[in-house]
Amino acid sequence: MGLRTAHRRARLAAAATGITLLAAGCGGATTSTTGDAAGAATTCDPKAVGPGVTDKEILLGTTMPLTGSAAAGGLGTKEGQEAFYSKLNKEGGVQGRTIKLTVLDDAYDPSQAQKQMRQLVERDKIFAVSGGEGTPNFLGVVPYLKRQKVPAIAPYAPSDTLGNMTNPDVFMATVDYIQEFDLLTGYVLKQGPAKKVALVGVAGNVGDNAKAGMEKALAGKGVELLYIPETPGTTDFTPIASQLKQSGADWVFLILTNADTGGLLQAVSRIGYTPKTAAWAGMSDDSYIKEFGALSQNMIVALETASLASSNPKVQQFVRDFKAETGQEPTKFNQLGWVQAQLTTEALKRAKGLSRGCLVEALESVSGFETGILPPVTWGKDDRAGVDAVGIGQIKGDKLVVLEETTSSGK
Amino acid sequence: MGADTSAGGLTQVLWGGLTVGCLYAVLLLGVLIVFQVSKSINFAYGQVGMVAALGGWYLASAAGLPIWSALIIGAAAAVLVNSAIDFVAIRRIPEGRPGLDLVVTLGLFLLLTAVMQQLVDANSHTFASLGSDTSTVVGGVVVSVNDVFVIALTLVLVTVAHLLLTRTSLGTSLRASAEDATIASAAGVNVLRLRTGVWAVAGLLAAVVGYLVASRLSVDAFYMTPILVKVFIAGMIGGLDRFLAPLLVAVLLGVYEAGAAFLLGASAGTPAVFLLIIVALAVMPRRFMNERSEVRA
Amino acid sequence: MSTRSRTGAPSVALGATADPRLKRSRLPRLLLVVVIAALPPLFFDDYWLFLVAQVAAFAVATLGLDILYGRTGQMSLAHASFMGVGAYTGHLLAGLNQGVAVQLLGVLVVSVLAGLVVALPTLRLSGMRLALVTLAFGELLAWVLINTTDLTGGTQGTSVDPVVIGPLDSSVPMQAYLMALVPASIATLIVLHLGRTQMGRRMLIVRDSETAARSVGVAVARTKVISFLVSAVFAGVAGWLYAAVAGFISPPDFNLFASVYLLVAVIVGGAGSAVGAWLGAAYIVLMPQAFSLVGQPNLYPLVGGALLAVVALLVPDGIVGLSRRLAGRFRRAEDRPNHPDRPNHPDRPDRSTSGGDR
Repeated sequence: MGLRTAHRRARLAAAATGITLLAAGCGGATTSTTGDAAGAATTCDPKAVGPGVTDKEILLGTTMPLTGSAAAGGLGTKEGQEAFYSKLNKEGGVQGRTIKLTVLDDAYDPSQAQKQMRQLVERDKIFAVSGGEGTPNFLGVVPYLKRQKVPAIAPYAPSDTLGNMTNPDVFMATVDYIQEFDLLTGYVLKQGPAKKVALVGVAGNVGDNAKAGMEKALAGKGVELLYIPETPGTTDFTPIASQLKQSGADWVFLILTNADTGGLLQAVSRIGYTPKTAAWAGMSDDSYIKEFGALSQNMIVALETASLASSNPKVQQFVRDFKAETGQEPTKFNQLGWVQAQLTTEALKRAKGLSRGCLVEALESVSGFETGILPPVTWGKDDRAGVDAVGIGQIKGDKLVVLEETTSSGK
Repeated sequence: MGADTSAGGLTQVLWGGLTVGCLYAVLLLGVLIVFQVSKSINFAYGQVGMVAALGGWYLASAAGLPIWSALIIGAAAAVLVNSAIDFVAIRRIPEGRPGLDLVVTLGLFLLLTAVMQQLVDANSHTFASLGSDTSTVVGGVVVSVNDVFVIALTLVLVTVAHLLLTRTSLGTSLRASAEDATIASAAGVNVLRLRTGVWAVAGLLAAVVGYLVASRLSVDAFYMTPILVKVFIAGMIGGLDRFLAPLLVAVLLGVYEAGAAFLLGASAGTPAVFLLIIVALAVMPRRFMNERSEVRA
Repeated sequence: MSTRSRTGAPSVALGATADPRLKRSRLPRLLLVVVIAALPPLFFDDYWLFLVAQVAAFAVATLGLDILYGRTGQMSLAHASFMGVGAYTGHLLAGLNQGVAVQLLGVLVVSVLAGLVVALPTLRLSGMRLALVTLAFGELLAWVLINTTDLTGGTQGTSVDPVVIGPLDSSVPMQAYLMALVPASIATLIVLHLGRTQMGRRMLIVRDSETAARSVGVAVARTKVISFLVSAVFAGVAGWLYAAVAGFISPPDFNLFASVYLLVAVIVGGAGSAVGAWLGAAYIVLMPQAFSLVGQPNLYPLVGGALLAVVALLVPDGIVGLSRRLAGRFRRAEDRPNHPDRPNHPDRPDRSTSGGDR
């Protein structure tokens, strides 16, 4: 057997090359920087200046899906952030400096996101991570950010693994899907008695979390729950639709992509089944209602961000400002980007000095901060969750009607 | 609604599977005829249908063209794009490098996707319903106009293709050039023109399937990929150098997939399909297993 | 980089058997390889070292695929899935507080088992149908990952603790590079040496024509199974290495597209060549970043696809083939035309005549 001899000889050779290289490598260690000690975000030294901060500018960055199947959310969020910073810079910036934002494309891919984030942190030398969009891609950079101690502010990455002190550098400003479905289910149960409810969710963490949230809300209520996990890319929704029809569920809860929600609702209506529906916050976006609103009449949706039609003066101000900046009507993702930039700016404004330590200290001082777009945002020494509430809306015609501004779990 | 029995539900599901299976078969027909003249796999084939449907959606919904003219322009674009894929890329792939067609058309897949996302957008859109919202109940099963159209179209297309291939001189030329392009050419077959024609027809088939799938689900830059994967699976099981066997496999795959998802749960659909592949290939008689090119070698 | 295409195996490995003539010409090459390998730690910053460490990890995978596809002619659409098998096996064992040695052993054992499962159908299948079985394996693995959230982190992936060997910690890019270099060197040496062995020659015969292979008494099935197993082990180790370097793994890293990209790497680099496998690994890791570095990060999706098609069409033998063609013009007589570690020499019989691959 040639292979075995190859192995034996290769082992020898590798040992030899390994040692040579090790020697070479150790020599090089002095010239290469390992980790960014200056950026360590432990304490606030008002005189220290973090990476990416000059007399004129503060560099911020993040990665989002700008191409690929999840690009719609990333592109919208990027626009929202850019609009906010553009307005801010025109008004003189923050701490006497303008903001320069770099958003790189991660294609919704965790591995790509990490490479891009390393580029931002190590080559572009950003000061902090301003927002972000998408859960798996953002999770891909979390271990790296943790090691480098780079603060990340308000990324839209709903996950039960974030928003706690396991990842102290990540300041969340969104509920996870457990909370969201707990609150949504709680609202639905208040509307009238139900014997049986069903959930169709994206197979994996997203669906599992939504299911956990529903179970929490349904505990002890004697309501039966049917969970149907769905794999994105389903080519025929008739089986799921038929299963729902047979279950006779009073309510069908949904946490799927726009396309799959539309596909399922079409199949449901094709076979003549008309359940009451409730869905995650993705369905509150205009891009969904415009395309699939006709299939989604009276659907109850969770609101992670305030409805754009809200009479809240802060929301109306946002709509006016965004239009003035871009000449377009804002979408939910524009709104998300805007509020991410707004929270980042608030923290920069409060910071006693422009080092990462001071930024973290400033972030921890944010309490009950009203953006008008999100429920009041609170962080603290041991609190990274930011918000614990969602609003409730309903799709009526081609409009989203707000039923409750915010409904909190009162943590 | 309350009268819906389990058996009724299953029939409904199998009917849905049959319709989707027919859509697989029509797209596979395009793959098969292209394989006859080019001996290559076009990874970007699904995206050709996407170009037609997403482009058609844009022309109708955003640019305000009447739906029928939008569909015709979309189909023309698909024919053009598919012909261009052959002309610009596939023809230039040197002989005897297996896998190169995969790499080249993967590049084109990425290109078409990116271009359409730039030209239109990255969102999902509802497509013209094409009769999927008009239905009647037949024996407890809801049957839509779209379903009937899909099944009728499949029968017509497969029959026409079969007759063309077996009963006409066109079919003889096609089979001759599939066997050996050089000999066919020497025998007076215009191989190049034949090839161009086949790629154009395949483009049209992709557009038709693109429209029908979009009308049943929705349209964005990615929606055809899961369909194409299933089509390739059916083609590989049935054999890309055969005709009726792979088409039948495509239809059955749709039915099987739907039945498995309904009876075993939606998340069981995927493993059921792939376990079937392994079992099917394990028990298939050996004489079906040998691909023609190998038998010849 | 093209100078490396002719570097051959370091003579340390071959000194015992190679004749003196070979030995003399190989020493400078060995030095060249060592110098090139030592360049990154000397001149690159963390960002580049991280990328180069990833290239080394992917090179182990592409070298494995090169054995299977480039040399034995078997199309696999599950190579990234085998990387996933290695990555998740290592992660699970690390979760059970097992050390590096046990992790690596586990990765090897599980990779061999997974390889066996997929290799058995090769006894009756080839070409596209074999590719289909590998695809099915990949999809099944993805399904398992999604449905075992507690163990594997599910769809949203899981962070992987760095691998620590003595003073080396894989979360530090420079040390990760050094760690990755060892398996990458071993894999490279095995592939280079394979060309000289009986088994390597048998693989080439099977690739060019199974019928011909049978007629000259080559055990076709056994050759294919061995090729599958070796490539699965390479991929498993590569996945484990990738997980250690990246610190985070998730199902998209190991899906069908990832497998297709590994095939892209082998073909673009140059099938049947160890250097080609390295170049291919560099292509898939560095190409997306190249656009960021020239300040056009969002151009990649648009240009990347076109570029891939153009490269594949213009350079059908891969980058190695291109550099060989260029080098051939300046080639002097001292070069041996039928060098064993260059099985993809343009003179080899055209595969279209045997057609075993579709």
